[in-house]
Amino acid sequence: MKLKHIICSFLALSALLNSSSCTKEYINPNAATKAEVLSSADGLMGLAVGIRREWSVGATGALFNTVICNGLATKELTVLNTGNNTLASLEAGKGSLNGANSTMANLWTSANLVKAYAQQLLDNSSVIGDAGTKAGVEAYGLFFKALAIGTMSQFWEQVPTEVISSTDYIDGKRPNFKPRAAALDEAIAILKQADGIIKANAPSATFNTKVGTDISLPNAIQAMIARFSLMNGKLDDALAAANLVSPTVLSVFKYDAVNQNPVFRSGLVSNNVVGGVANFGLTGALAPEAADARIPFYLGGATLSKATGFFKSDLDVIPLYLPSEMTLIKAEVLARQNKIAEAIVELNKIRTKATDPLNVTAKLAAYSGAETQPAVLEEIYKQRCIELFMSGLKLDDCRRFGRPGPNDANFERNRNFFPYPNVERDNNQANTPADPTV
Amino acid sequence: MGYYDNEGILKNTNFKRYNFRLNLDQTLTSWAKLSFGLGSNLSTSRDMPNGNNFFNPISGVFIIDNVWNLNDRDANGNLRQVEQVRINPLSIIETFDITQQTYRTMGNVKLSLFPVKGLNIDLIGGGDIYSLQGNEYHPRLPYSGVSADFFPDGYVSLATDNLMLFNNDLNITYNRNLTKALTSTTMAGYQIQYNRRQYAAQDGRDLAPFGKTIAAANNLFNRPVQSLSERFISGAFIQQTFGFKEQVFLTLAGRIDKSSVFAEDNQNNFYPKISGSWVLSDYLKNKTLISSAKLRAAYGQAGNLTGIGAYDRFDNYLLSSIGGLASITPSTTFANPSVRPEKMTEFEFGGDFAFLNNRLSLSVNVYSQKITDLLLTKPVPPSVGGTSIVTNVGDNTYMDNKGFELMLNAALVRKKDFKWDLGILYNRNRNRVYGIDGDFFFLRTGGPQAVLNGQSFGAFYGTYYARDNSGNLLKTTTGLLQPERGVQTTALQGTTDRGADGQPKTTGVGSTELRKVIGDPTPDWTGSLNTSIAYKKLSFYVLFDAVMGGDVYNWNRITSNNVGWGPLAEQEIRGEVPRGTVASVAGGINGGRIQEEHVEDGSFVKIREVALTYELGKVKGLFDNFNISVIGRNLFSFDNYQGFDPEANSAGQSDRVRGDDFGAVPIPRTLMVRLNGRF
Repeated sequence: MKLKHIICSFLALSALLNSSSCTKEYINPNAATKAEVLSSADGLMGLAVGIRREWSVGATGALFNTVICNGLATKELTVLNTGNNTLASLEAGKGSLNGANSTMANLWTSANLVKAYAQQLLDNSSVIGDAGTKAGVEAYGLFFKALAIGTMSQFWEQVPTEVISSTDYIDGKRPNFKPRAAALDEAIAILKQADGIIKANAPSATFNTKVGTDISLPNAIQAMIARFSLMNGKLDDALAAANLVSPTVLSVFKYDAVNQNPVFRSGLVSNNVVGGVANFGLTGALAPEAADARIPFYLGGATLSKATGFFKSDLDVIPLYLPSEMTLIKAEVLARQNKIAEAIVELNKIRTKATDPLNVTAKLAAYSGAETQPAVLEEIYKQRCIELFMSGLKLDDCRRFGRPGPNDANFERNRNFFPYPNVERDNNQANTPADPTV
Repeated sequence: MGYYDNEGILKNTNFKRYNFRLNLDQTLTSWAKLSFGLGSNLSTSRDMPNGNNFFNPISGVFIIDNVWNLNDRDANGNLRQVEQVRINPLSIIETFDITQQTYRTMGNVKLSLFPVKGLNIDLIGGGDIYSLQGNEYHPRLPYSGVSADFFPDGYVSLATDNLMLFNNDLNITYNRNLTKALTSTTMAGYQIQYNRRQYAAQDGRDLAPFGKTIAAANNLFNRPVQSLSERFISGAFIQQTFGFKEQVFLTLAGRIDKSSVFAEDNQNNFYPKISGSWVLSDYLKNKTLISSAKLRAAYGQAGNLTGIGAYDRFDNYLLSSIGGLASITPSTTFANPSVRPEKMTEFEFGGDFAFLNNRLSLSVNVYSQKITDLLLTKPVPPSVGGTSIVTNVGDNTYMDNKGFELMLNAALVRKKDFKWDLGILYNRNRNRVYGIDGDFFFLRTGGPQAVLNGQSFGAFYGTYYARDNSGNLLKTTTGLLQPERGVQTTALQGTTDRGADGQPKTTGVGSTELRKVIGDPTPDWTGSLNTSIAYKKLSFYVLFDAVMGGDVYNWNRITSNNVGWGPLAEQEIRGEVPRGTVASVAGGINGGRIQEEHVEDGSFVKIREVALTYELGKVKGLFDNFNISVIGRNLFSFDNYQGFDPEANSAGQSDRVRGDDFGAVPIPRTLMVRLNGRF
């Protein structure tokens, strides 16, 4: 009896263990599934926040790498530890920068991730019933997709604007590339679409609560239309959009103890990665005037060359754009249209500014130089270099203003465009374009 | 019961273990037996940071310039800062407290039944439950100027890992003589394994005074981590063996395996196997010359049931938060919804022979393996919105292993007072991967290990030195080293392109830094030789290990040059090589890093063990047997490697990324005296 008992209970126990384990499907309790996220409004709004986080947080995020890549290519920043060969190659530029550079690859990767994630919002927004929430999700997706494409257009000659899914990838499909002018046009068209959507239906209160209002979509959309139109030579469009941007409403990336200001945390705090170049790296005619109050703001002092600006602590907010960029866009458009007097009016708003929502104030005297197109454009370029220090825009500025290129004497940029990262070329050999000459 | 205590090669590191085991056998009846086992152990260790980071004291030694005296102390005996922003490696060794505890309990029950003659039924149930706990504490540093990255304000972390493994096996064996000459053995059964793991961790910095635990952290700068994984593996098999006159044996077998980690449609897989052996001993005329001989051959298939993580078949969306808002981001590692296990098909052939009255024995094995549906984490182009995918790599991709193993044992001398034995082991394997889409991909971002068409798995792929036609280094006009440039015609081959001045072009077409296979961590062959000599009560044993023809990617040496104290940096400071030589290798002056410089021959022959033993024999009233030994391990390595140890691998036990040496702790040389007594 006892023996049977033992044997029976043993058999019963193993049968129990086996049958329960056999039939169970083992799903991941640590993460959400694709279906869960993409089929609900909450999932899509969470993804919208995730897109902002991917762009703005961490040493691999697009924001950090835009600041670093642009800064090292244009003498804004300098490498503090030359043993760091990745950054040293970016600072040396020209033939020293090759596709293996991981910082450059991080910029490429993060921008492409944001582009693809944003497309998931657009492809699935139809599951949202509430019109205002749907509009918010769509506009957010369109905005970040355009931001990603436009930002890549500043660094590369061609941009993979096309978005394919992981299923497409497994089936052997790879994204095509577009020349940057066409890519910028696409980014502008996407932004105009976003503008139409929020004009038809304002983002709902739910959307504002769950995704946040740190980015003012109506203003940020126009600001990016103005920025990318200017880069693409569409002067009237740039001026029209710049005029629609509020000078006082801010669009910023906010940080917390876990998601730290990446430029401070990964770039500046160790005093071992990068530092600001004295006088913003500007020399000769471009050198800042000694009284310029932006020197202490961005560099911590006239002699000390240590970048500070929007990157003084883990919690500092980083602006998505500076409202004064719009003023500078207006000045530049007017100057290029040979409306010199009007351009000088806008220029002086920057030079004489004593109050600013972001505390970037030059407190200088009004412009007193020659009232000619070349002189005024050069002054606008100089003001952009100072006012928009470490905002990732100088490489495009430098090209647009025809400043000395990589092979010129006293070059102000060490590359015209970046080579394509090996992570792309090695795994997309058919579609990746040839690298630029320099 | 046992206790074990081992001091580490670095100061303040150790490993201790207490263990306990109990086995009980109970014969229930003439046809049933029950056995029961229970084991439990507690182990603790004190560690130092390792791997590629600035906390690793070994890395620290390479990174910090040698003009600093690490031992410099202030009046209170506190260490001082070395090199701006860095942490003194001695602070790590002397004041960091990094511990691990493992509590482990294993139990098993086995019921054996023999209801009729020839039939054996074993039912086994087992469980293994263990809990690992890790604690890390860095005190506030007594000196200022250290980068915030290295937590000058102190750091604590706590991690627990609970694992639970249950298995249940049934094995049925039935032996029968079909005829007088023909025997049959039938086996069938199943195995079931369930695995559950839960990991949780939290770290923080900026410590409150006196605190050493997570409660003292004022800044929880990382989100808490929790991950739970469950895995279920099962298999059923049937196997039939026929034996003829105890000379010829033939086995046919098949098994079906199931693993929950793969896509639902691909969870069940069937693997066949056939093997045979032929014992020739009865045909041998002169048994003094050839004492025994056996030939064997086998063909079979197998799959890897745990080749990927528990949830790698899903497109996972990761949860976090920013500014109090829920944030969701897709994993950058894609899933392949139809992922399936790798399949290995193997054919092997061999023989076991003994000669000269069994004084000399020889085993030979020749094998050929083909692995299809190769399962890897493969990079994807970022333009598709991810960075990698866990997948079977291409329908046409396969990996070959071809090789042979040889084992020779000889009793050279057998005298009453003098014995001499010799053993030799030789293993040669040739590994090749074929059919890679696009010719290659990297196994790890930033590392040189790649999968390349027609090369061995994990070969180093990267940039190399520009050389002239006679193979000498082609330096720049200023005498600096430079990478080769030209047009990369295929992944494996480039065409060099020289400008009018005979130098590689640095801009435009033909200025691409070329890449090729620059090394291979897979050894050509491995072998070992051991011999033991015993004279009366004294015996001597020595074991040599050889690993020949494998390369090491030495990160340490370039790092030591970059920070200014390596041999090349020394030459540069002395003016023996032009200014900028180190930087030209490291990258940033004439191009990217010249990766060829990392690669070194890691071949070695080591004196793995030497032992000298003296047998005291019976010690009256105390021991039945008593001996005393002096044993040395890893006494000497014959190699040309410039780092500490060519056998070290920074990536640990990973079989995918091998041959990296960056801050790896070398295998220690140990000397030990052992007293061994039996009551």
